[in-house]
Amino acid sequence: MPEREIAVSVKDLEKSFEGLKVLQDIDLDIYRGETFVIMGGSGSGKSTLLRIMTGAIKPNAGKVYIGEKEISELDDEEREAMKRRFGMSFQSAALLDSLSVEENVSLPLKEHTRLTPSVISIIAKMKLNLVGLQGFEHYMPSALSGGMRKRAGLARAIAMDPEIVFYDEPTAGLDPIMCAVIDRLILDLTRKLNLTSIVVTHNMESVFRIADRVAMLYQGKLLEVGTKEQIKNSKNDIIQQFIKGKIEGPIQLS
Amino acid sequence: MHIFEHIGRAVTQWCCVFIDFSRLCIDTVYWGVMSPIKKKPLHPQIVSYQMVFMGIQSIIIVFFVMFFTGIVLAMQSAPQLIQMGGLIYVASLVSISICRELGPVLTALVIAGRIGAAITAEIGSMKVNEQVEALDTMAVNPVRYLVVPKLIALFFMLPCLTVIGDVSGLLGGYLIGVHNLRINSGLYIQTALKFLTLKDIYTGLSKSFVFAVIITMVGAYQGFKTQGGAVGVGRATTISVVTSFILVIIADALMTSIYYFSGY
Repeated sequence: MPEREIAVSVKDLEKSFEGLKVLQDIDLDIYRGETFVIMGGSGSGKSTLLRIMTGAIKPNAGKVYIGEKEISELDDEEREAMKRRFGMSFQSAALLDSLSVEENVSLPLKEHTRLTPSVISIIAKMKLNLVGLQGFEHYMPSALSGGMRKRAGLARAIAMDPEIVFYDEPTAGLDPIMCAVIDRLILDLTRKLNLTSIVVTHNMESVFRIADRVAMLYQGKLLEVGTKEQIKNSKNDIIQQFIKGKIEGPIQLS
Repeated sequence: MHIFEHIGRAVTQWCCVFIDFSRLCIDTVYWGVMSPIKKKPLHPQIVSYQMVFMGIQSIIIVFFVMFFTGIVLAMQSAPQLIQMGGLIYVASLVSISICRELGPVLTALVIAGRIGAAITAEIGSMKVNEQVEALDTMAVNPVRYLVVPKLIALFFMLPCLTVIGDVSGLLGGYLIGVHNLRINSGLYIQTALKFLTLKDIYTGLSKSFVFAVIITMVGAYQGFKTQGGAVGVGRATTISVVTSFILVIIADALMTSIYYFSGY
């Protein structure tokens, strides 16, 4: 079997906030073209890990490689170029309130390309079409439902045809049907656009619907990394308690 | 020991605030200058939107504040000047104090309340709703996108508002002088302009450029520092307005003393 190309690699990562360790000894390789899910309870450090991968937060120790390049060694120009290679879908969608849906999707294109406004508008409409939001171009974000906002955020994340898309809790706060719609969308986009998708979630249905591989974070440490079947059949009591959502077990509730 | 610890902490905290604030100012100047060179858009539509919001939509409040200040100034000074037999000097007192001092400062304070608060609330709520982080993730520099257009807009609109404020104040003084104190209209205008020099107007206007920078940068700084949801946005907005008020008054005193000691 040929060796798979690594899209994102994390080595010996550590992060503390005001002396409190939120991540330690994190080693991960995420392969190109896969949907990789980072799961864990609230406060387990999964969103922090995602933000370290995007370069939004600097780790206290360890390295993050996007392809061959280590992100802390990049200068401003290289960092900007690297950011254009990935998109991010936020938990709150994070659409700019002052811009319409189409303007939100167009923003990265206006900023980083020399395309004419009419071409940018066509691309934005295509991206909105991909997430099923055709006809909502001129709506303001405040006029959209939670699920529509997430989809609009997803259209913006893929506006620049990124290689990697990071998803922070893409199904949080949505009804089960909309969760399934978003999950289908993540899978479709990953396959159609040949993306690497890195998803942070604690929605177990989503995990087993979309993941190629899963990493379980607990108290800032990586417990296990494996395919969804391996995780489902894991002998680790913490993982089993988390998957099954049991109150009794080794996970300490704080 | 305990007191020294407190003092040490406070000094460190103030140093950090100063460094962060200076960094934001340097970033803003850098992106203001470098954006055209680096062929990054400065978003003229945002600048024009901000000019309308900051300038045109503030005209009414500036007019009322300065108009009534002119009225009050004329009414308050008249009894003293009557006693000295110099009622006509109400005109020059109103014109000089409005153009040189009250126009720029009161306009800046009104704008600090209206626009400084709006800048902090906008950037602060964007910060707590991950929108600032979203801009950064899209490789759109938040300072270039959010602060530079606002600074350009207020830098040009505050002096314009100050001129409108000056005229409104003069009009208030004129109405009291002519209709209440029975000074001849032509004589009032002549006296008002006789003692008012061009220097009075441009020293006043030069202050408003500095006030525009203070209001925008303090507003933006507090916005970017916002933490803790809606309560945090409210707190940051209050701090922003109070800080702008204090800094505007301090900057006014400094510039007045510079003009005074340099013979202006």
